[in-house]
Amino acid sequence: MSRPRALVVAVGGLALLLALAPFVPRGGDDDGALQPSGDRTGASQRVVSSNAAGRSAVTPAMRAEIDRVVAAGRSVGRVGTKAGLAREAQLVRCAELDGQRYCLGVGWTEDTEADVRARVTAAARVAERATRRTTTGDLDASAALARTAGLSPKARAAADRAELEAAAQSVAKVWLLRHEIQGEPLPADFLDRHPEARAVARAGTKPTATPTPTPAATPAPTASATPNVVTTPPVTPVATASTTETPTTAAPAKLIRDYPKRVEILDPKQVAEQVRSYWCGPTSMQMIAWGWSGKEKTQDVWAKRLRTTSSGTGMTDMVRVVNNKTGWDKPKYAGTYITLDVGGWSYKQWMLLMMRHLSDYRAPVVLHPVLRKRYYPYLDDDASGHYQVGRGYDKNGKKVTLLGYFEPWNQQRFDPSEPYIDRVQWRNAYKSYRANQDHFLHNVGV
Amino acid sequence: MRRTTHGVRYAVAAVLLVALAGCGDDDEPKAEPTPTADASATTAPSPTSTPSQTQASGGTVDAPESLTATTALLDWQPVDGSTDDAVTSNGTWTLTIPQDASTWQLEKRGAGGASSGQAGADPGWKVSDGLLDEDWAVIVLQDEQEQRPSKATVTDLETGKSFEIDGRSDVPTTSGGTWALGDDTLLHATTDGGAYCLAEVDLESRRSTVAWCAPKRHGFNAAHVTEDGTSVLTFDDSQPSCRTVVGIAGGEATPFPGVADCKAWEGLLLEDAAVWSVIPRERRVEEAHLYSRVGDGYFDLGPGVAGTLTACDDAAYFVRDPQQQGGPAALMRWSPDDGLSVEYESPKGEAFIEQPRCGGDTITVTALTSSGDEQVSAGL
Repeated sequence: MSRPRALVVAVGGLALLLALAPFVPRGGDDDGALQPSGDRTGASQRVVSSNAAGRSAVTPAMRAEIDRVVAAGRSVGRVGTKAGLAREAQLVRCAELDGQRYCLGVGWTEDTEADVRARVTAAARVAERATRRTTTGDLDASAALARTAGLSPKARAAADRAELEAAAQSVAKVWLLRHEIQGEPLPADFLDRHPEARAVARAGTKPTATPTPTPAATPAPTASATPNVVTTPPVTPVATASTTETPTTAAPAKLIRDYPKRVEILDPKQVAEQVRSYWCGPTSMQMIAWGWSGKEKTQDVWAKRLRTTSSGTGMTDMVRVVNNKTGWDKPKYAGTYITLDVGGWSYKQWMLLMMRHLSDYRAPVVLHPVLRKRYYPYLDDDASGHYQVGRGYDKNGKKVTLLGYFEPWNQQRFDPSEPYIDRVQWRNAYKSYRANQDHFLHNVGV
Repeated sequence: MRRTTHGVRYAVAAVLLVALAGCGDDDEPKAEPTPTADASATTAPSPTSTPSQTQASGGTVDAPESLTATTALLDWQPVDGSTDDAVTSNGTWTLTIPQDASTWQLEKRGAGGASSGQAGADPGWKVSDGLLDEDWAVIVLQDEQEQRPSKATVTDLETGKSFEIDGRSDVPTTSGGTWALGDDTLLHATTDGGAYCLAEVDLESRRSTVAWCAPKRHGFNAAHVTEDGTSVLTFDDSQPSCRTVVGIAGGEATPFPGVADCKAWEGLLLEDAAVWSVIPRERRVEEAHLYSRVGDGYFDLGPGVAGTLTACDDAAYFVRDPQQQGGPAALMRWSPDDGLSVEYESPKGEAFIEQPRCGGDTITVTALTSSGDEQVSAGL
């Protein structure tokens, strides 16, 4: 080919590329922004992805609501076990924070406070009948209430305030997550109330850039700007299909079909089995943190940070420690972790949440199933609520979708009648969904 | 009672290398083993017809004959009550254990109305097993702390008389462990001189004996007892465990012939036949592959769910997860005479089935599906 002809072809090709560029599906900008359907040209109306929202400001209205809920807890006074569950249930109180409901010890929920109390009380009754029941380490309803009831009013108020303030700072993420996965329209003034969710086009930002995949099989740095991700999937661009709603602000829907066939994060060699029967929380946390920093810290360390007792670990403590002691909460990954009640979620919504977290955020999920034989048929006995580390999925072709996770519970360690189970497991995701739904809290850490 | 030799790894004569080829212990969920059996069923002309397939002579250990399942759906009837309850029925008696395992109910339905008995487990105890056949009902209570020995109430369904087996019995129970009922025999775990052993109770005479003790640093579970023999899964304390399915007779444990070395999950004995499952990939511990043997002929029964193999009415049943997205979960049946058949299909959508519960000549299954859960029962 002669040089002038090659030049013509090159220039023509470049022109064609530039012409087609606007039609290339957007993968999210460097800031992971999603474009609203209502105003695709106005950068001022774009919202970031839920993980990138950053911490929300605690507004005066939220502050007043937190004060109200904390004060209500003080009025309960010191509650002994003799006070009964009805009174202890008052310790489960909910705050209305910017249009979303957060219940202490339960997380972000769509249930009413009365429903949540009834649910926790019923679970506590069952747990109390099963006195001193062996658990793998999830704090049951009775133990959770007893722990809160045992605090002095002052200590309880401090704990409640800390939990509610942390929750308030994540409310934008809750809104965006519900919007992205449940299709909940965002309020018209959402971006005014939550500027932290506004995506502002920065000078020099490449308009069609997709999130940069992390190199595969990268040994973990000792410092913590980057997680110790071994396998990182290709990131699928966000679908261009827009929601049918026409709110002022909206994000395009991303469906299961838009996600890669298979995603796997965390190094399967960085796993551990729980060394105490009630340490599934510390062990799951150990593996989550190990995956971030590349450093293995002992389960004792995590048990202390999680405030684990022989009764187990609470989910809100798991979320707190993920946020405070790892970098998985950075906007580049999951953003601030939240405790999210998924009781009303369909399997597809739940699976979409897993895919969003594992593929888009490239961050582990704190799974919270009940270990019952009907969901885990390899078990010899029914066990308690439990923690696992969600770290992958596989659409599995035409077969059923699989969920990949780290299982801290090595039944062999505690029972001579059960064989060893590998820490790395893949299984029918629907079984995990049902095991999660069967937990009285039916929540996850995401 | 004799112990088997300490430290002996059961040297199984042949392994199913062909079936397990490529089933490494890696972390590659995409690395599907090549199916050795057609997971899909062929549909018989009538949904209630007898499976049309007659049993073939079988293949070899290395090349077992793949069986294609016929469809022979039973006349399933819905079971009253919550699908969270574990119901076992023998057609006359129904044993119900609620989800919280705090109580149990044994109820007889007759022409003269229903009579029932109910008991609540004592505080600190839960119902761990409920076993029922045509003649006996066994309710096992387990210490929630798994410290005290389990205790079982055995009821003669004909006379209504009961007796207890517990930690003070001649052959005492132990905490937890496997239980199995069949052929007027009850199996449970016990300890003997520090060894972990299998106890066998002759229910007619109420006489207990130690049938076999696991070698040192070994355990066992998944006991099955049929007219044709007793079997358990034994395993050592290595990681992963070397798992071997064995028949127990005369104080000896004899490995099932033809089972992949260290890969077994459970097995049971039928007349001149055996059925067993193996786990091809340890990182998919719920995904089993099932095989059978009749005489010297070996069969590949296809995929199944680990922990669901059940003997009932001279046949083996196991559960199969949906083999494709949106497909039904299935209850499979195999017998030496009838071959492999699909006996139940769950409502479509996302689905799975619990381990079937056999009540002698009646079987009950619970399906959990995205289009609604159901618990159904059928006579065999």
